[in-house]
Amino acid sequence: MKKSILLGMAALALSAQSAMALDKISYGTAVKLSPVYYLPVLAGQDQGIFKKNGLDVEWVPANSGPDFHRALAAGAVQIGSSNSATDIPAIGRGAPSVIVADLQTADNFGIWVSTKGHINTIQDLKGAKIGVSRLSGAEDSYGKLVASKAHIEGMQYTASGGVQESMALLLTGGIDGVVLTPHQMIDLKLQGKVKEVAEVEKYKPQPWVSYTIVAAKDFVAKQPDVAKRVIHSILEANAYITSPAGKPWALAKMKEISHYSDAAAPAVYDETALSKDGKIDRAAVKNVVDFMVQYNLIKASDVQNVDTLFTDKFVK
Amino acid sequence: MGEGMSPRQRKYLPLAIRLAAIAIFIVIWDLAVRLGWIDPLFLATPLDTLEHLVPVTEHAARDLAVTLTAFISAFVAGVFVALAIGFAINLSNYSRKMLLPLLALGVTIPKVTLLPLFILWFGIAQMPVIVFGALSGFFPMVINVMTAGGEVKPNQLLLAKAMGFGPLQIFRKVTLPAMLPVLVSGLFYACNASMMGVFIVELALARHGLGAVVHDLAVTFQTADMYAAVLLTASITVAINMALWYAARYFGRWRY
Repeated sequence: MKKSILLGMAALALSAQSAMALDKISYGTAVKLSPVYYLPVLAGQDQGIFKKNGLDVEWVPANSGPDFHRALAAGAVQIGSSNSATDIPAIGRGAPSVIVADLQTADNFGIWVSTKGHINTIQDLKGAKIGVSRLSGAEDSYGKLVASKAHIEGMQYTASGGVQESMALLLTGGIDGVVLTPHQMIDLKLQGKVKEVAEVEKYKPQPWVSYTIVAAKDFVAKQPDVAKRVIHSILEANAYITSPAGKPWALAKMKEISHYSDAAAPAVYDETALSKDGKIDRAAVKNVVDFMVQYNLIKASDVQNVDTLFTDKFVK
Repeated sequence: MGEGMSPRQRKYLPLAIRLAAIAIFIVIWDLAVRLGWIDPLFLATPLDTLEHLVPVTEHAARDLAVTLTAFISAFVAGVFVALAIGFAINLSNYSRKMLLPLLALGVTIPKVTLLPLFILWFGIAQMPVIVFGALSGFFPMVINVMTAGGEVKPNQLLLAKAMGFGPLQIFRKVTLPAMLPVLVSGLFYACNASMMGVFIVELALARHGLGAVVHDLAVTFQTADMYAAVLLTASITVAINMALWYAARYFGRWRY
């Protein structure tokens, strides 16, 4: 009797242990120090959202979108946050990944100028030299989109490198403007050194998808339940971040990781619009594809079928 | 120069000139920021940099350990493989003539262009850092080993054989001592190349390590911290080179 009780207790303990076993996941992000990328995954960790959904998630940040997709292809990460401007060329050209959810619809790029310069309105951008991270990239195309829609002639584009290099050129007069996001420019804006003269968002076709959740096709096919739990955990984290309860946590994290000042953190927080349902609009993906084809970021033959770029089965 | 100076003054004159040059550089650096020639967003003053050195070192202690571990692994692996391959090639004049130009090509090809492929081949953890660092040290070291083979005089080998030395004795008493000066200079070159390789990959790709720390500080515009991290990296490199120099002097003391 005593032996059977002990055996029963041992069996119960083993089954409880296996029930508590968490699925280990490496979650990548295209960039390390952008709040849109790190807030959801860190909220998932800190608030126990991943654990509640049976997941043990390690955050593996990359230094660029292409590096993230390479990490996906190499199996170093299974799923992560990226942006459509990188996803669509990568997937279209054969990367074994697929967009599984919308992370944030808007990316809030703008054309920023020095407050000491001669440019005060969008029309003053005529003939201006605009810095972009690289020619034929997304920022370059955004600049051309604004020029086209706002009928500004003569804007020239130059590759000004990374954020620091671009800001140095802007402040020293090497360029007249730069295409960047508010979260990158906020400190200079609050110091009164730069101002935004054009919001790219106003000129983009709608609907649009900017930040995405992307997964390896292999992972989605072989572990759909785990993929679904990761996606829903991130969406739950987004809901927390955008809630009144989550705002103080988010502000504290932005100050800790991005070293935003007390004034900058709330300003950046107000710009975030993380998706709570992750729903992907086919028309939004098509708009991004058409935009990229129009501005020669990809060839039409690279993406023959828009439906191969994404799946909405996890967020219906 | 030096006429009318005492022997003591002549002895310390080069040191005084070096110190004066460093002092002038620091003064110009400080004035450039304080007088507004350069925006403090992009250049911290020397004093700010020094003030942040200790806090940055404490904060980056774990990353420092990661970098040193990666460097030592890369350096040892690169040098070990270079010595093995270099000595094997040196066994034959024909193989040395055939392979030396090909391996020299490996030194000149900019391996940094292969960095994006390193993620595909080696993942996103420490492996690409170590492999790139090892490759960076391997090529210059293997060239040095092959070149050092040419320092061994054929008539010395002939004499040793005539005196009845076996292959191992010839290697210990004739070949290795003749090769040692070139090998030691190769070690210094490989050491700095490996360090540079590790740092480049950390800067471009990695999550941990001093390179990743510098990258993150630069992107978040913590200028004084970033310069302190760069100063820390430079100090580590100097310390490693000095350690290598003292080791070379110690193990090569029989030559002096």
